[in-house]
Amino acid sequence: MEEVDGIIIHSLRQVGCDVEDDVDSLKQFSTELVIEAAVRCLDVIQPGLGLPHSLPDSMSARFRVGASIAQACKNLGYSGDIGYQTFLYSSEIDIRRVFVFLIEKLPKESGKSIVEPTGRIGVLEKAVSETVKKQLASPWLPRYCRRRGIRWYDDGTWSREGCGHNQPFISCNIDVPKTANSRGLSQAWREYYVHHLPLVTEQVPHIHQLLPSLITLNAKGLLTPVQPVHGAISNWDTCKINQQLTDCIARSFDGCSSAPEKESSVAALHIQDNDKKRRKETNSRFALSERLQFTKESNKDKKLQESDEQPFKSQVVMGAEKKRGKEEEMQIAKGEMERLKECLEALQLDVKKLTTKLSQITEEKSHEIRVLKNKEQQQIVKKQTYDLLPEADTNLSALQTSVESSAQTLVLLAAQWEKHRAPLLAQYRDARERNSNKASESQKKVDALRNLREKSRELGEEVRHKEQLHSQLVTEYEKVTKDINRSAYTRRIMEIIGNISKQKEEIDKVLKDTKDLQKEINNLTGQLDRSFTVADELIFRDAKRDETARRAYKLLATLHSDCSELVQMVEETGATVREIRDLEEQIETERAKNVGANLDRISADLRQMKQETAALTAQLNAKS
Amino acid sequence: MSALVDLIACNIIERDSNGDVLWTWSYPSVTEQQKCLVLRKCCLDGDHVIVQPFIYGRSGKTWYYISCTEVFDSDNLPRVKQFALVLWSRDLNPDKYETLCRMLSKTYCKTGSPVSLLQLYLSVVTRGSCTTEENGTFLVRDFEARTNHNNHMPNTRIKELIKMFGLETILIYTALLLKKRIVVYHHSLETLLKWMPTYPALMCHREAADILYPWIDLVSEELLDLKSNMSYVAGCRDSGVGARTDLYDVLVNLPAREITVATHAKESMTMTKTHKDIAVFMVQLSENESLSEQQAVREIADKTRELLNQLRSLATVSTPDGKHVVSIETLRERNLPPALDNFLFNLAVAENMMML
Repeated sequence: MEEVDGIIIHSLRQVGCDVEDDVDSLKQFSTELVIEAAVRCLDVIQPGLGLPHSLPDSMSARFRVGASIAQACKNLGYSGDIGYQTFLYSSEIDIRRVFVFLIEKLPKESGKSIVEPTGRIGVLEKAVSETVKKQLASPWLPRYCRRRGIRWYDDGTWSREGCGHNQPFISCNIDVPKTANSRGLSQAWREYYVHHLPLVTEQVPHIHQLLPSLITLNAKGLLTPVQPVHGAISNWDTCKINQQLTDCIARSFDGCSSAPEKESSVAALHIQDNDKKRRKETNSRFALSERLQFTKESNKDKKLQESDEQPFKSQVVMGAEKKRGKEEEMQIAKGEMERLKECLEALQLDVKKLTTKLSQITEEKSHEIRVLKNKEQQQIVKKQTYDLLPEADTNLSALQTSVESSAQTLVLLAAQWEKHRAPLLAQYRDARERNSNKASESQKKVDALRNLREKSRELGEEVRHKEQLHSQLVTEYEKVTKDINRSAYTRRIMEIIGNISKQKEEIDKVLKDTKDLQKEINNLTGQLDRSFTVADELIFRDAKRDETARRAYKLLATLHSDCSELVQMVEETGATVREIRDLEEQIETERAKNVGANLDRISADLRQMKQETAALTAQLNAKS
Repeated sequence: MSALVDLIACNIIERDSNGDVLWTWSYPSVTEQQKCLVLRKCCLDGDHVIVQPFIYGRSGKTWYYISCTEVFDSDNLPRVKQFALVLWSRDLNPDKYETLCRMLSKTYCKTGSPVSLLQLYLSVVTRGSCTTEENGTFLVRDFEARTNHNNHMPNTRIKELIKMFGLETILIYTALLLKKRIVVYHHSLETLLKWMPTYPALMCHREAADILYPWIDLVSEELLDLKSNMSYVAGCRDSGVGARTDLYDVLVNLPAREITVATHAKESMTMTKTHKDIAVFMVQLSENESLSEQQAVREIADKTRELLNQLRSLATVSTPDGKHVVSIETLRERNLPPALDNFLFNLAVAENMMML
């Protein structure tokens, strides 16, 4: 256990405990040291507990400190029996366990460094999270404990909770001086602002309405510049609108010519008419309805009816005369259209005819050319035949022989050519084969080279990686402090592991032996019983007749009972020995607890506490 | 002993053990353009796993026939894995040239020298026949008899075609009748080449060799060649042809079994009652099991002739040449519905019976 103590003491020294150098086991720890060590550990684990590092003098204070330390340890999650007595009247085993637990709970030195949030947002978020944490941690207070929802905390901060204190958002108009263009302000206005305009706080009927009113005023100020100015249209606006209108009119005319419907065209003409008169009065609604009328052909009639109503409402008087004139124009346009249609059809027919004619003629032409060529060739052949005709037979045979001979010559020529061609071809093929062989070999070499290069690159990478790792580990090793003899610990740990495994083996062996022994015992008892029964029967049978047999039987019985008594004795002895061993172990543990000394100290402290309480009561009585 | 003067040239392309595709021998000569074309079409490069045994196509007015053969160790051609024999000719007769190609290829395999090949070739050109020891005799005569029947080739599959497309076959029929441009698509070359002869067979009274382009690729030279014709039936293996609406009026997609009419051709392909009748008639033909292929073809030809006779009855006007043509006024007098009017107009134009 020395190593454990060594580790504990070392960690305590790191935490900041003032452990003397010659203290190297927990047995030598005094109560003050124990308290100080525990408190320092708790400080590191849970800063802000506010426990004193040294024991106070008064007994009750000491008792309280011990209890709070025990409570803190329990909060951290220590499972086991812990109380003020563990620290004030300590036993080695208990404090060892407690210290091991506390040291485990110590945060790692190489822990994560908390990144402090910088920047406005980060700081704000951190503040918000802290406040919310505090609010969540505090218990609930009923409504009447909070005045207007405000609640005070121990550290002097306050927060608002609940909805009971809310006020409705009622705003009213307030006047503030307009400082946009101060040049435009007349003297009178300025006078008014300076002397007579009441303060904003006095302009609202109720103080709660001040904030909402200011908010609405500011919002209005933000929105006003964005809205478009209604009302009078300036000069250049009118021109733009005129342009749009003329476009619409042109489109309406096109629409008329493709689908001549009297009402729609009349209406369109109406609109054209009315637009000329109502330029100054156009507003967006009318232009929009017009655009709708011309872009959506399907809704044309409907929209026309709508816009129809508009001009009709204002142009009832002039309508009838204009209508007649427009009808006449319509008729003329229609006639034109019919004529154009007929022209178009005639032209299309012409085009069709001409294309077919063209194709026909080109085909005829090509046909004729072919026929001509054929005829020319035939003519040549026929001419030659006619020339040869007078002496047909001889010429025929001559022709045949000439054909044969030319065929033969051709064959000879082919043979000669073959003589040249075949070796050349063979040469070419050989060269190609050699080339391809070389190519394949070089390809193989290239592949091998590439493989080697890959391998060397991989090895290089590995080497680099290992070197990096090596340097890293070396630096880490140097950083790590050398006062703890880690190798000794690791060696010891390995030894312990080895020991444990050996022990396990031994235990297994012992168990096995025990089992075997038990089996043997069972076997033997069984055998014994069986042999006894057999012997008993045998002799009993003879005992009826023979005297010696009877005696033998009696002896057998006594022998059996004596032996069984012996066996019983042996078993009892074994059991007793085991009991003795257990009791001895228990004695050892009890002795380690050091109860006697602790009991003395407790009784002394109790007497001291009693004295103190008596003194305090006497003081109180004296005061009152 | 009729000579086969239509043969123009003969070439050999070899693929050797090094993976090269070489143009090894040719007689008499071919242009660079033709060389490029054939090299592309011969499918000897490593992309194609299966060697197509026999392919044919058209370049301008000449036809080429390519037959690919695998070379085995027993043959006399060292270091050659496969070779293609190309025959150029002026007429369209796949069977004839297939047989000839096969014979020539076998001879070449056996002897390993093109000289023997040349001998056979010349004998076919001069005498119209050639004999080999193992493969028998090739006579041009054998193939001529069949070609006299309206120039339509055997191995047509009209009944299958009608069965595949049902009433939509009328679209193909109309397009062929009105001399439109048809493109047929199938991803497998073999199947495509098997189907191509069927289309011209629907129009027996027209020359198949004029309009048929068995296999085109979407390459600029071939497309130029194609576009120089007013009407054609072209087969394409490239699925991108569907996007080239400038190339076709009607697209027949064989694997998907659908016929698409291009938008610019829709108005000329409107269907009338006559069309419906013919369509129903064709479907009935295909369902009739007892009819053979030849008979089916003949029936359709009869129907077409009926239609043309009907048209000729309208040809009342006679030109100075003595031809009877139809004039627009005659059509207008009949006061036919506009679709039928349009159709008859186009048909007359196609049959050169329209007076313009």
